Amino acid sequence: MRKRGRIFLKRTLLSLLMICVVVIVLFPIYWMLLTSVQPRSELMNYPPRFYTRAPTLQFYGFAFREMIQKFFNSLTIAAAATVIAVIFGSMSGYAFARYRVGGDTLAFWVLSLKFFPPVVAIVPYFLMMQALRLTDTLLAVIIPHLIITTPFAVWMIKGFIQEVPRELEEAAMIDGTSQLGVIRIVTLPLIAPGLVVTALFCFIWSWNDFMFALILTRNVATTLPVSVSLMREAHGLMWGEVSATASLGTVPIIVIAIILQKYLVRGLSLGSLK
Amino acid sequence: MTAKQRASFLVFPTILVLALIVIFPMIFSISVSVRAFDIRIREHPFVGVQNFIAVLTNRDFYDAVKVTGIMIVAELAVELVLGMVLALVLMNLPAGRKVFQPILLFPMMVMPVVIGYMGRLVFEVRSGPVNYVLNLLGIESLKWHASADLALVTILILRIWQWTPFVVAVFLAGLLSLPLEPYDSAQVDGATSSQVFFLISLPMLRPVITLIVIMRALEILQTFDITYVLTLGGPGVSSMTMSLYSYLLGFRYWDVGQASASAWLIMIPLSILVTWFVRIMQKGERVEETR
Repeated sequence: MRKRGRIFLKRTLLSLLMICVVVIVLFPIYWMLLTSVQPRSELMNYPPRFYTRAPTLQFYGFAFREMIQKFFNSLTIAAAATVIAVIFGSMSGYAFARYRVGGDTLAFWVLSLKFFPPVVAIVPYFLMMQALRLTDTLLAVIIPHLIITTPFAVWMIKGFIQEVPRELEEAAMIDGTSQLGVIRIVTLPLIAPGLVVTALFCFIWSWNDFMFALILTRNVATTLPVSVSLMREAHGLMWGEVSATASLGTVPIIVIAIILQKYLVRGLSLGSLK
Repeated sequence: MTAKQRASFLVFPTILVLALIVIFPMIFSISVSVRAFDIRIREHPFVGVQNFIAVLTNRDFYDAVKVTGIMIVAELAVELVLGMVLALVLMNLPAGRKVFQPILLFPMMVMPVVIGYMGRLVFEVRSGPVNYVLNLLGIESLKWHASADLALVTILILRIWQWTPFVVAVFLAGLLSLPLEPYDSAQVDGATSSQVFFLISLPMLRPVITLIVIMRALEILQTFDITYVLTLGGPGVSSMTMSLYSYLLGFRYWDVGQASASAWLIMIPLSILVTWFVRIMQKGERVEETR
């Protein structure tokens, strides 16, 4: 009886500790959302208020008027970089997983590109896009974003295909299905959830990228992260407007993160931990 | 044509595209790094290693190396310890895990630019909530990212806020996958819980710890977004990271030659870490095949 009491006490204390941790984790996000719905008169008052009595959507009005184009820029770039990566990833992921094309070397070369630092690429990309007169177009950002998404997609999809037992494919082959038919009927449906997971991760990497978008856009093709950083410089203290724009860029990603939670460790560790 | 040859055709487009978008820019970057490159002028005379010498004799570069080094050591240490503690706490709360874990993953998905901006909000000097709480506790307001002493600390706090949950999640996955037998026999032998942790859990988690160290170090080494938004390396050079330094050389001072040279200097520690990571992955792959 006493032992059970001790365990209960321990769990209560640990739960309280975790609740404190959760408050710390959520507070900055809450604070940004709060700033985005407060009327201007309540912003930056001392002492700060931790709730609002008169929530307003005026700053979201601004965000939708001024920033909707940036939102669609981000969306188009991320969607394009994702779709291309998943197509390339499925093709070479299959070849790497089933036929070990290029031995180990080629697959691991692709893997190492996931860590290619953008800072090495920004100068050549800046000069190349200027020479090609592509600066400030969506295409100029999509191309380098493929460095972020493609190696990741290849490696993730390769891992998902390796999890499909080869015997399943062989069994279908014996039944007289062609190889393409096997891929379509057996493999693809089995790895479909993996493809979705891979696509969502690619989308997030591209959506959150700042460095490439910063140097390759000016004002037409700017993405949401770049717009958030520029608003600071241009308008000083537009706290409400910036918060609304930043929330617009953050909330969709958090929704995706909730969908991904089971695969989060796997995705962030490139499949080295499952 | 064998099946393997046909499969090569599936890989070919990917490799071609990656070569075009990665290898070509890399070669271009090397070529820029050995020239006096002024983008307003058509001619870019070859200057050999002069750009590298210019970077390596600049005190600011070493400040950036120092800041980046401090970040790697400090951030890794805090994230490892804090991450391990929280993972152990969650191990003891099997029911609570399902509630707490999804919430913990929010920060690492928020775009770093927005986190820098959140930092501006919560650490705001005059009316921010952090200083308000300090005042309630009888401590005077701090200037956080606006002061040379605390700028780096502020950035570290935000990054630890963002990435500790990742370390927790990895440790938790590691702890949950450990075999149970050693724990059972330890219980039979009457080992204390700290003995169990230091003699059983920690040694068995070593591969996981190595992976975390590599992956976090790779990311910290390239810190750019939060610093750009929050401090732009300042005040002075107190929070200047290597990536930011390279960016500013190229796109504030328009010396793209030196910018490329300094970027290649970041490549040195980075490629060591990447090689290490790939080795571990290769070993893992071989283990899986022999199974």
